[in-house]
Amino acid sequence: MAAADYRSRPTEVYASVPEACGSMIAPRSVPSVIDVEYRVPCCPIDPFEFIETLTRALYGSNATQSTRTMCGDCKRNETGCFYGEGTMCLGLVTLAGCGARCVNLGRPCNGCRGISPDANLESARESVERYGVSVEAFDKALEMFNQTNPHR
Amino acid sequence: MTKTSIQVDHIARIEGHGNVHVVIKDGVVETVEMNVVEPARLFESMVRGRSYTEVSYISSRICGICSASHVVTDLKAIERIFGVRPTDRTRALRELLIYGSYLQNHATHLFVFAAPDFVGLPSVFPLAESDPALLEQALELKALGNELCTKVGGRSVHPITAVVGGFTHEIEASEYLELADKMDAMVPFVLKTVDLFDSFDVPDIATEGDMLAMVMDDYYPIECSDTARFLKAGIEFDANDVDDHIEEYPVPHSGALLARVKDTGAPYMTAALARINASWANLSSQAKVAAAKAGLRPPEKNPFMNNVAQAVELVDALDRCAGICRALASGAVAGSSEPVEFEVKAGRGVGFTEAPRGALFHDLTLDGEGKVVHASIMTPTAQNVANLEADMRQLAERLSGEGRPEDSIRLEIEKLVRAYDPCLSCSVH
Repeated sequence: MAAADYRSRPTEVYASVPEACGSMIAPRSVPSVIDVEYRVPCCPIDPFEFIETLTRALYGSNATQSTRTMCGDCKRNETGCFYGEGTMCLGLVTLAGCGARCVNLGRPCNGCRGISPDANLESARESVERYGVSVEAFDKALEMFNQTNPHR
Repeated sequence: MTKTSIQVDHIARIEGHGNVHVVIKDGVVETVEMNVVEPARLFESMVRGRSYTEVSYISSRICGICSASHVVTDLKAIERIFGVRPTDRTRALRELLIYGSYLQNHATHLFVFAAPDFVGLPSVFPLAESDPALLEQALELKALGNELCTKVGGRSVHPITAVVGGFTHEIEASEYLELADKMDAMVPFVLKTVDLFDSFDVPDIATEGDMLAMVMDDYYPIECSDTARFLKAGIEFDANDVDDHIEEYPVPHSGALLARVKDTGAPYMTAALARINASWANLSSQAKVAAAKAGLRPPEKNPFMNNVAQAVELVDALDRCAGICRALASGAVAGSSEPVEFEVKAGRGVGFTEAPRGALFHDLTLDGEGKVVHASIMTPTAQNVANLEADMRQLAERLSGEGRPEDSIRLEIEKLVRAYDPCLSCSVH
């Protein structure tokens, strides 16, 4: 799905879009166009996770794929929580698996692994508000790596 | 009437998608086009309305191989607006971060992209059989660059730890020293790399355009200056005044906007070659000797020499970064890299760094809440397209005049494109 207002974007950059760019169509996700069986998340991908996924694709696996969010990983790492400082962190709803790499380095999660299919967005919004973080800012931050503002 | 038509669809061994189209009729070049056929990527629109805390994360994604440059350039723009002065330690770390990507990029460009043409190979992979030691060392150099980016930035692609005012994390002193030792160990190989590229035969052409590089007194700057210089026109300017000196313009055959010197209307080249022309005297002594040995001294106007220039920069980078690492470990670069305090305010600022492929500008305008109102990004490759086309024209005319057959002309033109080391995805952003 394309994001809302995608049509107005080219005019913000080009007086007129050069021919060499081709013509614009509504952007769509890869799975909406072709069948996808395996997905390597994270931006950029982790080379080891890529090898893991490739192995799974070639040889199969009995292991279920976890859908847990990042919070449990931070608790296990015993790193302090950003919400305690009133700072937003998207780990609340983001798929875990990177070991909370950014948080370990002092940076809140920016959601680059995508929202977990089991995330409870409504509950997350209530939580962030309780910690003094704007729900609007939370929703806007999710847009960076998730399609949460589809074009209608 | 003789007509030679050279069409290279999706030229290989460069970054990004581009076609080369040259038509020569009776020895006169009728058409020369670098078709940058990347779709519109619209990063300058994507960052609009986003907070200054997110901007560098977004623009980092303009490119996977020079993400460190996009991040640091954005941070510099934001800091110019907020009036933030980062500590010397932060600036040393930023330099290391960008040099990590120099090591990775120059190694990839020289060995994977450029060298095969000069040794009659279609790609770098046959080297795995014919010269595995060479391939292994080239990959080791590439890996060292990635390791430097990972240690300083948290990740080899899309750094995490670089933020407005400083860094969120630093490695231990012992890790800096380990890196310094690895850098010293790679020097013999990069010295041989300079010799290797010096040994390759290249056409003798002289670019007629200008050259643009970051300059600073008594230093070889890639990050710590805000001053740019047009070497031919002799014009120096502060990055904040970039609009007064560089003009971007569209052409139908390129998704990237082209650029010219506003004062003279000339196209120009920005690249390792421009940097060495501007700051040759400030190269490390080992790098200077290597450059002189390879016949690279300013003013060098042959764009093919950009390959030798990158090899020389590898020598300089290893020397320089080993020194910076040791200074960070010993505390000679004192203070902390923890983000300094700042106040969010509205304004416009231009961040400027030398990315591996040349001068990079991020022109940002923020509102009172620190959200982006307007962004204009000028990447080195976009700035180079016009000059590349001019040089292709010159080369095609010369070779056609010598009576060279079509596939010979085609190969030399491809070598020229690769010598510029274009990053076409960045050029369109």
